[in-house]
Amino acid sequence: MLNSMNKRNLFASIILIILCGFYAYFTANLETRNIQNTTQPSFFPWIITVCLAILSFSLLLQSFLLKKGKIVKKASAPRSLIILGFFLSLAYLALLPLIGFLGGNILFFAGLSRIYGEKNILKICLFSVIISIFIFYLFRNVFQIQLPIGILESVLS
Amino acid sequence: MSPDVIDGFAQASQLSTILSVAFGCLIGLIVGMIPGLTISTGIIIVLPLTFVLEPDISIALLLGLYVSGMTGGSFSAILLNIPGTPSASATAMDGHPMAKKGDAGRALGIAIIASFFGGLASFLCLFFIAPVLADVALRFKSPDLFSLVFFGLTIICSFAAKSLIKGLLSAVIGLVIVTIGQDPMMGTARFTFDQVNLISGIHFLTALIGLFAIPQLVDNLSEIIKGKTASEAGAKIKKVIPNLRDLRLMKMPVGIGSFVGSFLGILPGAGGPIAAFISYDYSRKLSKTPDEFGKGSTEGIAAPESANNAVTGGALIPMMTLGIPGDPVTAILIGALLIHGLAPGPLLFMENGDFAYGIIFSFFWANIFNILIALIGLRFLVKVLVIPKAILMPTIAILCVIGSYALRNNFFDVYVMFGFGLLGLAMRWLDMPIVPLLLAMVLGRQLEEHLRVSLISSQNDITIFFTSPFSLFFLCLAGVSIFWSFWAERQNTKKSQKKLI
Repeated sequence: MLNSMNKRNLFASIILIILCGFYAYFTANLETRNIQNTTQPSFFPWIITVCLAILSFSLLLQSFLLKKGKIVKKASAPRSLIILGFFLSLAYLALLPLIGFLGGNILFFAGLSRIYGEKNILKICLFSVIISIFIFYLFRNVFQIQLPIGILESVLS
Repeated sequence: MSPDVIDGFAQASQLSTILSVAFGCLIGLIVGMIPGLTISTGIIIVLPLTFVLEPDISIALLLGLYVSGMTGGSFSAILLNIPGTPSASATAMDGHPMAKKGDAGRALGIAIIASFFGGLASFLCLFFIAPVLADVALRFKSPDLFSLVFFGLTIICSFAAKSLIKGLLSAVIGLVIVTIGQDPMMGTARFTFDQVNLISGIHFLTALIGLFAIPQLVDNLSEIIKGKTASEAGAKIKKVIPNLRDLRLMKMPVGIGSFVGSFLGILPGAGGPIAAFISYDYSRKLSKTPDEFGKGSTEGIAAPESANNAVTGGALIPMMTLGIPGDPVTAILIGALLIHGLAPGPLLFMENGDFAYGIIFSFFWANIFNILIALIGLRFLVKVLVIPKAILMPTIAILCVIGSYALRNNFFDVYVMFGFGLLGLAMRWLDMPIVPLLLAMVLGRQLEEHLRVSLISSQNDITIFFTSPFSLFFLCLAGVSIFWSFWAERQNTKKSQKKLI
């Protein structure tokens, strides 16, 4: 699917034209100031809108005009691992405010470690706990950055 | 001698700054030699640690990392034939054959010493050219600065992209992102959708972490080194210091590399890989033994290595004097300076002269510590190559998340970082370069400010950009840059169409 660069360019140009439409709509609705001899807040966004429109249509034209598009080599990374990593990251980000950086990082590290090919469960557990705790304390105690720990707050304090 | 020079030297020579440079060099060598980790990623990982440091100390650390990252890239190129950084690709062509002959230590020694001389030459360029250029740049008015920033953007787009349209699109997307938040002239909220978190805009570093680190984490899923390990290659490292014959042979290629690297470093977007390959090519053409190139030639290692380290000092010149980043790393350095409330540009030399010279002398110390740490710690450093990706990559992922959060102690920035990671992946899928977007984010606000100030001062008369000689000069250069890249792209397309037929 979409393994020709021309098809990808076509797809991207359509998305960019839609984005350009939205950007133009919001630019048109920007607040204006009643000050003489000055440029309005929408001045620069309008210039960007014009540039974006010209370039998006150029990309669209290019995808039609070039006779044969370059065939793109498929990525050698297994798609299943990329998808797994994506959902793991989504779950981590969703749970982060709840479980905080300490618990979240241990679980995230363990999951990623498995995705990157580590099969030994003991190693995964050991490294995820040690490295996550080390980084957490480094930032929290040495660099004084208050990383939230979510529900672990009551346990640790 | 100017008091700023003396103060700058004293500032850069404080124990805390020196230790910071040395630590940066150590991290840089490690980051540089690990295939799949770029210097930009290394700096992104380290950046959150510098938030709590004094500006001079944090910049010293980042400079150490920048300089040594370039040298570290050659270690894996020589030992494993896998360049740690793109700039080390040319080094692998002769470095690895020499290592295969059993002279890995000698090859590494040549690379380290050539890097040192390249870095030193670019330090001299930085020291002598930067203040002069800053002095000239002080005369620039808003229209000149607008045209300069515009030229910087066009040259970067044309250099960084295979397709000019995609390069420019990437920059325009960056400009779209920059307009989110308060308008720089009147403070009006733009494209914030009533989100409090968006009023101050999207933080440049949050975007940077996502754009660089996440695609690299995905890439590394497929780049796990199999079979070749540094422990095998490391066992072959015997004598690191090159012999007298090597040192004699290195003179000419180091000279070429230093000159080409320093010059190309000044040009925004040209970067290390181009400088390394041009120097390699010229050295081969001027060599008495061109047939040796590709088979483990001393000159073939010295030329690209001196060139890619000479680029570092060159790239700092436009960054410090004009506020225009020469490459992604200097763009990050601008971000780091802004975090500490310092804006790079001509005023840096006027208002914070001691700090500006402090940066220059920290760069000097970075080159000194680079050679010392690399030569002394080489045998231990190469062991880093055996760290499994299953440990390294999750560590980087966690540091990226914490780094994004630490910028403003806000979960929103973590989500934005992740969003930019997806954008980075999409751009990669489209073969669209990330660097123009990044640089547009750095320069976009300046571009808008100078444009609007110029128009207000001229009462909306756009001829102001053509009546100032400096502005006209930069606009002409921008025009030439766009025309040249368009022409080059047309030629390439014609060639590839012919091949297909």
